[in-house]
Amino acid sequence: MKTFVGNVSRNIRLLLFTNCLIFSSVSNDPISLWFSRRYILRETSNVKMAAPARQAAKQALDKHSLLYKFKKWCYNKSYFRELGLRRDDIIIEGIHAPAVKEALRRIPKQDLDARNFRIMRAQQLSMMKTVLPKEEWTQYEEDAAYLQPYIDEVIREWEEKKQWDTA
Amino acid sequence: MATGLTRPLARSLKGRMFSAAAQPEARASTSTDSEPKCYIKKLNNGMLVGTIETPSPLTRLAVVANAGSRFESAENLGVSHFLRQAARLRTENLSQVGITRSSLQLGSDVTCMGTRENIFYKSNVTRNCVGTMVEILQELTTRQVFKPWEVSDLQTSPDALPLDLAVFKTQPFLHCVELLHSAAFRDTLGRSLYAPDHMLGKYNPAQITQYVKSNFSTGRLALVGVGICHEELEELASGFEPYASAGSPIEKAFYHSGELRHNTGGDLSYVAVAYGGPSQADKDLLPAEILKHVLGVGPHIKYSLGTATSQLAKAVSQSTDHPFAVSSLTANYSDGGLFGFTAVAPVSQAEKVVRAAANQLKTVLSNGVSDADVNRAKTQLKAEMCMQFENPDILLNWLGEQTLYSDQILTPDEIYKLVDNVTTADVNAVAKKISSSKPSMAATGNTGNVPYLDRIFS
Repeated sequence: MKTFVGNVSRNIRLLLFTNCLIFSSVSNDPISLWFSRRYILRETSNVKMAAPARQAAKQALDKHSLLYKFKKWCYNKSYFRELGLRRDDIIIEGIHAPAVKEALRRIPKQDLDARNFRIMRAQQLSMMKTVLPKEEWTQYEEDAAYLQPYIDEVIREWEEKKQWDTA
Repeated sequence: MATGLTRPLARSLKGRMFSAAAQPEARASTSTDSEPKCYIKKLNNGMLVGTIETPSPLTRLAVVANAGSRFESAENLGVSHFLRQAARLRTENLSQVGITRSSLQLGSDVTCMGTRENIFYKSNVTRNCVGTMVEILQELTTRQVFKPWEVSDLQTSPDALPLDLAVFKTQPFLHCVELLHSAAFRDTLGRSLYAPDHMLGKYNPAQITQYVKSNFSTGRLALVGVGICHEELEELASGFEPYASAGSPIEKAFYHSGELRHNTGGDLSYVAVAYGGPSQADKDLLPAEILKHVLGVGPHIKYSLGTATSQLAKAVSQSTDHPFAVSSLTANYSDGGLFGFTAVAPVSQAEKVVRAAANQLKTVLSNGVSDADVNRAKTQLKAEMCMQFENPDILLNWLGEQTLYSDQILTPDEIYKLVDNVTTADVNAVAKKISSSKPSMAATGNTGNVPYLDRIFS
C-alpha cells in the first residue's frame, strides 16, 4: 500500500512537472508560464499565423532535435497517458472555462464522444487505482490537438470583440 | 472715406473689376450632360461589372450572384434562403463581429436579398470608402467558410431562419404567389424563395459549399454600382476571385400550368390566377406590361376601389358589395413569365370575386383593348417606372440583372422610348398569345369557397 501511494504521488508530481514542460513547449521560461494563464494560449501567444502555416511550422520540428526528444521524454513520463487520456483532455479550464465550454460545443460530435469516453475511462481507472495495459497508453506522435485550435479560435473571436468595443 | 482723393482712384479700379465685366454667356448645358452614363464590362477574371455614373455623394454597391432558388435541387431545397441569412457568417478573413462592426465603422450597411434567379449583396457607402466596402462584399461572396456550428446555429437560433419562416407564415399573400409559381413552373422557377420547414436543421456545410461553388462562379457573379466612376469599379472588380465555373448546363424553365390550394383557414381568401407570360428578353414584355396597366394594378387613390382605371376592379365591383382587392400581376424571369391577377376577398364573396375577375381577364385578352386604354396605360407605366428609378435600390436591382443577362444596359430614357413605340395592335397580339396558354391557379387563406380552376375556365 505504501509503495502504491508513493507511486501515485510520484505520478502526480510528474504529471504537473511534465505538463508544465509540454504546454510551455515554445517558451523560454516554463516556470513563469506555469503560474500564468497563458499556457492555454500557447498557439495564440506566438506570432499570429494562419492556422495552416502554424500546423506546418509545428510539423517542421525536426524529430532528431534535442527539444523534440526532451518533450517526448517528458510526455512519456506523465501519468495521463497511462490512463489513456490525451493532452487536450486535461486542459485546466481556469478563467478560460467559458472558452473551453464554447470550444467543446464546436468540435465534431465524434471527437466529443471520444473525449467523454476517455475521461470516464480515466476516472474509472483512477478510482480502481490502476492504469491501462501499456500497449494502450497514448503515444506522443498520435496525440494531435483536437480541442486546442477551437479554443484558440474562440479566444481570438472574443479578443476581437473586445478590441472593437474598446476602440 | 469718399474723399476727393479716393473717388477717382476707386473709379479707375471699378472700371477694371467684375462690375464692369461683360456678363458671361450662360454655358450651354444639354440634357445629355446630366444624363447618367452606363457602362458594362466583362473582366478577365470572369467578373461582370455594371456601372451607372451619377454625381451622387453616396455609392450604391451590389454583388449579384446568379444563384437564386431556381438553381436548387431536391436535396438542397431552400438553400438560397439559407444563403440570404448566411451573409452574416464568418468568412476567411472576417468574423461575424468583424463584418458588422467594420461596415458600421464606415457608416455603411450590408443587406442580402434574393429573387428566384439572383442573390444580391447590397451596400450603401460614401464614395471615399468604396474600396473597403468592396473588400467586405468580396469576402461575403467569394471567401465563405461555413463553420458547422455557425451553420447549425443559423437554423436553430430564433432570430435567424426560424424568424424568417415565422414572418413568412403571417403573409398569406406571399404564400399565394409562391404557390402560383410552384403550380405554374413545378421545378426551376417554381421553387420557393423560402426554405421549407422540413429542411430546417438539415443544411450542412458541405452541401452549402457545393451550392456556392457551382453558382457563385465565373460569368455568374457581377459587381454593380450606382454613383461611382466605372474605371474605379472595374479596378476593384479585377481583385475578385470567383469560383471556377462548374460548366453544368442551366435547367430551362418551362411553363406547365396547374393548381395548388393550401387551406390555412381565416376570414379571407387569397387567390392568384395566371397564364404563361413573356420572359424578360421577350419583345412581348412591354406590351404585356401595358396590358397589365389596362387591367389595373390596384387603386392609385387611398381607400378607393380603383374602378376608374382598372378593368378588373370595375368588373368585380359590379358583382359584389363587399370589400375586395384585385390587381393584375406579372412576373418575368430570364426564360419564363406569368401574366394574370391576384385577388383577396372575404370567404363568402370569394367565388363571385374570382369568377368576375377571371371572366374579365378572359374578355380583355380575347376582345383586345382600345387605343384610349393603351395610351392611358402607357402613361401609367412610364410614370411608375420613373417613380421606381427614383429609388436607387431598385435601380441597382435593375442594373444587376441587366449586367448578368445582357451585354448592354438600357437607360431609363431608352425604355420610355420603347414604351412609346408600342402600338395597340402589338398589345392585342400579345393578349391573344397569352390567352392561348393554359391558366394556373393558387389559393390560400380560407379556400372553402374558392372555385376550382377547371370550373372557372370551363
